Amino acid sequence: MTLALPACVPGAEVRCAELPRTAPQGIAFSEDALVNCTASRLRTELGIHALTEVPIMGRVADLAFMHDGALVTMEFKISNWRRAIRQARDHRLAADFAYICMPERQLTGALLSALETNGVGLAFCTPSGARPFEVIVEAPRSVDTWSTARSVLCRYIATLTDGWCIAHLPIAPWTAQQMRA
Amino acid sequence: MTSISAMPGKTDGIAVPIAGPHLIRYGTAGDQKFLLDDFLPHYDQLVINARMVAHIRSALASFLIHRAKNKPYLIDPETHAFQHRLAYILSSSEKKNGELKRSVRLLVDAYGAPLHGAVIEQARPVVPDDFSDPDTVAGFADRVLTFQAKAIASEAEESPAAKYYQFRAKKGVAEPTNFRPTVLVAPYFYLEAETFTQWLPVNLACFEAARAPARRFGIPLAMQITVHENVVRSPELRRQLLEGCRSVGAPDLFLLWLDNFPEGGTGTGMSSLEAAVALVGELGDVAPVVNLHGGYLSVALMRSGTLPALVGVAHGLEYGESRSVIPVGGGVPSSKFYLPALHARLIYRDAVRAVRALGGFESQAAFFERVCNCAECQLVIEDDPDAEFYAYGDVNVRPPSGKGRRPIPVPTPATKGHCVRHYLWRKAEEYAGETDPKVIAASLRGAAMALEEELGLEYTAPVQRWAALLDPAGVGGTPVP
Repeated sequence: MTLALPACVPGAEVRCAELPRTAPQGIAFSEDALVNCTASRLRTELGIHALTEVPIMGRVADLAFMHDGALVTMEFKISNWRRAIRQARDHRLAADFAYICMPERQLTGALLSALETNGVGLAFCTPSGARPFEVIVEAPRSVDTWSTARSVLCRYIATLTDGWCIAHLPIAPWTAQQMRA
Repeated sequence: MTSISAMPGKTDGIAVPIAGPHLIRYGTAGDQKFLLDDFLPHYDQLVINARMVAHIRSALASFLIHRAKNKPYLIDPETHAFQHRLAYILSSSEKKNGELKRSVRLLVDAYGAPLHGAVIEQARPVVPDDFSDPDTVAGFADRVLTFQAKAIASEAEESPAAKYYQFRAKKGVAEPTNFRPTVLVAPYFYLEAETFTQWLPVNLACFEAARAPARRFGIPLAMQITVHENVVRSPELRRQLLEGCRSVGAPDLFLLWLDNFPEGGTGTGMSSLEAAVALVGELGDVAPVVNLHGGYLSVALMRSGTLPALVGVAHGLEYGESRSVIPVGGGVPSSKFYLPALHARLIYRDAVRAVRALGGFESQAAFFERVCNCAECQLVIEDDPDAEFYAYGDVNVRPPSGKGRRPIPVPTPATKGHCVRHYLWRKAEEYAGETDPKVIAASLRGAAMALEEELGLEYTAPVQRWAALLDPAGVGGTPVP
């Protein structure tokens, strides 16, 4: 994958930085705020149309976007990375790369091991940084991707415009001919 | 025993007042369309909740007599609903917030004392002391049975379809019918360990009092046992239960409802399953048993003759293989695909993983051989299962209902239809399927081995437990094709 926009930190070095849990104004970040901030910065600063709250196979991914032809999903969590990884693992059925995105935190052996086992990447969100997020552990390309679910998701991202409407994942009844077309 | 609207079934020469082993719980009016047409001959009997009968009795009568071609039925009187906190039976609609739900109010009016005094006049649930007067119990039992015997029958007798059935009977091409349930159910209350000794005598008194009206209507009488697992797992409480049942004389049938007891649930361990099997066996010494909320294990135990007393198993259309006595929140429905190999409903994304692990996406033929070839799958999987399987998971996205809420993927009506019809066809297959417990167990073990790596123990461990119950000495499994 060439997720070139944020810098990668090679080797997943242990970092002991303080968690950027608060904005400069002293307002605590919520997950929603992190998601919206990241989506907004991807759009405005990098021209990537990122969609928030995207349904994937019965789950809802916080963020999904296309980049260099790859479909990337991100699950944001302030804490509870185990839950985030469980969710991101399911995103791999439709996405090419699945990440969890958290405020900067100490990397533990358990976290790194879980990321590797589940084929999920890690990014730190940096609301006030130079980039929307920094990839700390690169996600491997998913070997679980179900082409049908991926196609549905791509079409969903491509067709949904701003604001929520009752959207139908444009598929049923889906015949093989339509798929091939 | 007189069976009215259906010829009684037979198990080892014992007549049982149900039309056959495959019972389906009628949940909502929306279920009707799935229970008709091609599927109608593939189940034996309907179980209908009294609240539903009270709510839409005319529509139900029309459905049963006309569209379902006089399908045999029984009514669960749901008397236990009045022993729990009233909050469970109050309306939550804006207009009627705090009032009894309409269907519940209709039932209270039909059942009368002591429900009326407690629930309507004193706004409290009934307690065992409300049943201390034998005359009160006799009147209550009479009204509960009268409701079951007449609610649908009296509506049906007025219907045009009734004339058709009478005409056929006159011509001698059909049995005379009066549209009554095949069995009446005595009033019953929920039994759990803490209050067992208080409610068991009430249940027994209600059963005894129900004998007279049952005889008057000429319809067999069932005793419904609705129990928490803490009773099932206690040999002493089971002994007291059995002793009590024997003391009032055998019913024609036991209807068993194990509270929130999913046979394939992760929390339903081997000891729980063994205790449930023991309970059915013990009750079976007194009368035949129908499991009102059962899954594949129950069907396999029945089909294989492992539990000869088990003569019927009922299930619902979607979430019906176990049920909580205390209603739990409905939540958002999600797509689930019934995987025949594991006899379990899988969350759609897990179903995709399972189908892929079984090689079902390779071709239509592979899907039919390794996953399912039911009538619904034959319609859905026309050519390319890899694409067409999405029909079982397609969703609409409901927008967030407020700030901080998330969009909700909800199965489309078409998806729901596919999933339910597929499920029903597979259940029909199970009720007519393999009878050799060793073969069933080997098949279950094979499926568990094939899918354990992909799905984990959540789905496969219960299947291994079922296999151990059906064939304790068995090892190894039949490979999935």
